[in-house]
Amino acid sequence: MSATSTQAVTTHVVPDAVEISIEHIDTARDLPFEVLLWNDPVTLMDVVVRVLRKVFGYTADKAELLMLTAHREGKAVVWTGERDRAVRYCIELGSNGLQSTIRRGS
Amino acid sequence: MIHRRRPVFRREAAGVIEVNLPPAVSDVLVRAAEQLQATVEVPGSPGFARLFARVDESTADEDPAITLSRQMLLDSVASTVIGSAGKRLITDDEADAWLKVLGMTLARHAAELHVTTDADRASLSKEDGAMIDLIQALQVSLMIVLDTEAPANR
Repeated sequence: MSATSTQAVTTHVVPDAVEISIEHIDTARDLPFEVLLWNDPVTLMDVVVRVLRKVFGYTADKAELLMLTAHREGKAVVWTGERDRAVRYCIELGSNGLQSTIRRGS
Repeated sequence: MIHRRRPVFRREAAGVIEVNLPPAVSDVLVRAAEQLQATVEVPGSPGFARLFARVDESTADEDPAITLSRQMLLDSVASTVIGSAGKRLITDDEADAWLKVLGMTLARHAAELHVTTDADRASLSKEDGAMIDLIQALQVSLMIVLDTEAPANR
């Protein structure tokens, strides 16, 4: 019984550990990127809030806060995460007329 | 006495929207979609620079795949608009494409007119300002109807 238990632990824990390690190395370039939303003088605030809610699934309050940050400060970090998703979000925002870019997180 | 005006967009059923746009406004929508598609062909234009501004600030050159994805997405929603602009009933997906085309048209239009500040916006000619007002009004109407639930008993 004791030996069986040890074997069971080995087969479950070691592969998981190896997999996590490989993923970490492969995604080194994907360490946090930020999606920046830029202010513009023609897009309606309501449009920005709706797009942020739809694209990111944010609450109305969070989307409004981010919109107001971009409006007042010229830009706002609206999402942080891995690069490929950040690019996809940028493309989605752009297809709604919003201007956004990505950059490595600080 | 006056007739009660029909709303330009009305929720007809789940996923279906009734459209009562004047033909001239439908034409504006189609032209907007066509102009967006044409913008792709003019890389040096302000509209192109605005719609396809670099996404990734961390690399020296933009990944061509990103630009291609954006162009394909633009072409897809513009084609949807051109194919549905004359319909009396549109789906929510088509309405969403209309919203996207309106949003990108606003961005392209502002870039072509060199509008980068609120002051620029305020100093537009009456005609250019009216076009932006029309696009924004359509956006608001579409957002309202898209966020409206279908009537229970219809």
